[in-house]
Formats: sequence, C-alpha cells, structure tokens
Amino acid sequence: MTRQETLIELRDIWFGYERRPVLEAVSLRISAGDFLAIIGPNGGGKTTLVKIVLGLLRPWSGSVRSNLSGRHGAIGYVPQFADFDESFPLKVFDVVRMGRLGARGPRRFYSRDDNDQVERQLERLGLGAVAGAYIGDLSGGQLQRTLIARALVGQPEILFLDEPLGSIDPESRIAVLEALRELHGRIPVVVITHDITPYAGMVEQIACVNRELFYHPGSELTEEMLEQVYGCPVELVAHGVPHRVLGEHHH
Amino acid sequence: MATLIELWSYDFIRQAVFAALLASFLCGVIGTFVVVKRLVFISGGVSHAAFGGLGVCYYLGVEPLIGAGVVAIVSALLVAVGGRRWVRSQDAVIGILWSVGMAIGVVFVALSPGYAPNLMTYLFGNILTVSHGAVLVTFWFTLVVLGFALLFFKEFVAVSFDEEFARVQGVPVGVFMAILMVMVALSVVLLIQLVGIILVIALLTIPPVISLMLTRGFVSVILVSTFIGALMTLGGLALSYVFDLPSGPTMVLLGALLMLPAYLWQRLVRRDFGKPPDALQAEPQDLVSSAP
Repeated sequence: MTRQETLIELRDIWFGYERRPVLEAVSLRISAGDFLAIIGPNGGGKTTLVKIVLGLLRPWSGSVRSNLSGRHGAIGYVPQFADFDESFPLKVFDVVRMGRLGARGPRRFYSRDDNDQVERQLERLGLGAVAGAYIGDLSGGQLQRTLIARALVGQPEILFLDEPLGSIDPESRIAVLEALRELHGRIPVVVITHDITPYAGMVEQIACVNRELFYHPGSELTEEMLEQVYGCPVELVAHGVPHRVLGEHHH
Repeated sequence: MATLIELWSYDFIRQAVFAALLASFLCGVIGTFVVVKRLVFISGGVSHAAFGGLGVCYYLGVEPLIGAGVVAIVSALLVAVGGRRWVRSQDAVIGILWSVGMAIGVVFVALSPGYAPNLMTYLFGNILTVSHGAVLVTFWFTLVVLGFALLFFKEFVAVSFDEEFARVQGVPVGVFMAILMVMVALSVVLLIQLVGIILVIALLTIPPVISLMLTRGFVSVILVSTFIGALMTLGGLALSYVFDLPSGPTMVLLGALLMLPAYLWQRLVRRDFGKPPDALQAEPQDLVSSAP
C-alpha cells in the first residue's frame, strides 16, 4: 500500500439536521499516509463530517467510498469523552475490550487473544496500572487514553479522533501525542481539533470545515484560508517555535 | 414460626412469594439496564400507556394484561427505537403517551358495565391477587430475560455504554435496543401485578440505584440489585401482612427506606467519591516545545 493510495473518498456530500444544511458540497480524500487535521469553528460540522464517514449519519446526497477492508472495526473511532456517563459501572479493561466486538467475528465470547490484545494496548498507552480501575475513578486524560486504546484493539486501518486533547492533563497529552506519532507510521490518522498547535510536526494535511470544506495539502495554515472558513479576518498567533506550523505572516 | 408455616399453607401466599422472587430477577437485570441506559422516564411512560390497553381489554372482557402488554411493547418501540428519528422531542412524546394512555384506560373502565373493583389493584397492585397462571408466565419470561442477558451481555452493555461506538463495531444497535425495550415493556406489565402501574417504576429503579451505591462492577450491580429487589418485595409483603398495609406501597416505601443506609455506606465506608483531579490544563505550546 503506497502512501498516496486513496482510502476514503467523500464526493459532493450534502447533509443537514431538520432542513438546515450543516455540510454543503463537501468533498474530501484521505490517503494511506495522511495525518489530517479537521479544523473549524464550533458547530461548523467537523464531528458531523466524521460521523458520515463512520456511517453513523446518512448524507442527504453525495457518496462515501472506502477502500478499507470493510471488516467491523476497520475504522477506529475515538469520540469526545465529555459525553460519557462516568458513573457507568465498568472497569477500564471492560471498556477497552469493547473494541474487540467487531474483530471477534461470530464467536460469542471474548477469547484469551482478545484479552492479550487489550493488555498490550493498555500497556502501550500507559494504562497498565489502572486496568482494573472503574472508569468513574479516572482522570480525564486517563479516560481519553482508555477510549484510544478501545479504538486500537480493533486493529483499525484508519483512526479518527474527536478533540483527543480536549482538557486533559499534561502527562496524558504527551502519551496521546506519542501514541499518535507512532501510529501514523502504520495507518492514517484524522484528528478533529480546534487547535492544531499541539500536533505541530505531525499534521500533514488540513481541512477547514465550516459548512463548506477547504482542503489544504500541507501543514501550513494561511490567513486567507482561515478567512475563507471563519468568514472574517482571523489573526494567526503562532506558538511553539521549534515546530512552527504557521507560515510567517506580516501585518 | 408456627404462623409462618401456617401462612405457607395458603396457596395465594405461595404464589405471592414466587411472584416476588421472580420479580426480583427482573429488578436486577432489567432494572440495571433501565437505570444505566437512562430509560427510567420511558419505562414510566410505557407503564402508564399500558393502562390504555388494559382498560380496552377490561371493557371487551379480555384478559387485561394482554392489552397492557401489547400497548406497552408498541409504545416502548415507538419511543425508544423510532422516536429518535421521527420526532424532535422524545420526552414530549413520552409525556403524551403517558397521559393519553391513562385517559383511554379510565374512559374504558368507566364505560364497562357494573362496578370496577379492580381499578385500584391495577393502579397500586396487589401481590396477593397474583394468579397461578401469571406466576407461570412471569417464570418463563424471566428465564428468557436471563437467557438473553447471558448470551448477549457484551452487546447489551456496549449498546448501553456507547451506542455510536457499538454501531461502528458492527453491533446491530437497533435490534438490541428493540429487544431491550420489549423486555422492559414486558417486565413493566408483569411487575404491574405486584405494585401497580403507578408504583412499578420503583421496582425498576430503587434496587439498581441502591446497588450502584454499594458496588460497581456491572455483574455485581445486577446481582446485588436482584438481592435488594427480593428484600423489597418479600420484606414489603411481610410488613404489609404484619401491619395490615397495602402490599405495593409497602414495598416501595421499604425500598425508599433502604436507600438511606446504602447512601450512608457509600459516603462513609466506601469513600470513593471524587476522582483524582485533572492536572490544570497546560499551555499547548509548552508541551510541543518540550516534546522530543
């Protein structure tokens, strides 16, 4: 598989809730070697777009083509953890093992192999010590890592993450970024984020979504691009000198 | 002791005890899903809507629980499976089903010729009037519920915890939600015999809520709430006998009283409140520049 091979292609997608359009004529191609950041204002349709790719929402019109294997769990999905019921009576291990539901096939019960894979992913994301903890006792960052581990045990061929760094502790932030960097060597990664700065040096493509989609095949974000998306001049503030994401700009 | 043996010799007491024990399994399994999947309001709507079917069958001279069962299943499926797609506000639909069902029931019972002495029984239940046939039906239904729960435990838990992820993993979420809602609807109808339409929601919520205060694993929550359910129904039955009180409300009040020690246990003994605080959000650029 070459890095340029198209894995997922959206063509002319229209979608909305009730009669209000949320996405208009959106086309997007995700290739095997991509690290794509989907950015845009709140309510701009970032999460909606990903849910269409996942098959959770059916577009009004347009097509979604996939070159993935089509097995369950081929698309890894890490939702925003803010939506979860923390009092739900489950242990970290149980939550992560849900990621084996699709890969398990027709077998009725989890196998030792499933359990081994779960343990491996937990170790990889630094969660070995909390495997037996209830999710209600986790910090936000640990819960986020749990959800990433859950997506990874299904051995996905592409990974989508919705705001994976949203309000998590620094230790988890480093662990998540490290995991994404390592993963990107093997499968394409797509992150929804309102801030691409932490992904500096990793992001290779940017898609700005605000009803329409503006694709940018590079990691440099220009002011013109943001103006298109946000509909007004936006001031770029560049952080992180060692890994500059944003092009030099002058006022 | 002599009185106990004497009581046991009464057929209606034995039926009541069997009904109470079977009910506690439904409290444990179905109640736990109702509470963690937040189906409490739907279940309340379903039980009240069921009164419509009950009233119509009462008027027609058919076994009222059949009408209640049909209406319960239809309304549960309408609200839980279809409702999210067709209507804007699920809770408004539940509210309408709730009250319209009750109105239909009351109208048809009023239209029925003769005095309607059973009305109070359906509203507040009476475990002592549970028939042999009803106990048998409850027995088979409980077996089916336990079978489904064992066989598809992972799927039910996954759908309850995170529907979208379950769907991405290829779990037929709609099918499992439909099965769950049918089981909730039938449990509600069978439990109506014990505590009535108005109080049935207590049997599905109080045991799991107490259980969640005492324990935390999904399986142990089910087991403990089954035990609490038995304590509520059997204890309520005994207390209602001793103090000559209506059995349904006695069970509900006993459950409510049991919540207090459970709450104290959770606060004082278990002390697992409060998670480790998240470290303050660091400025992103610090991490980026400090990363290797």
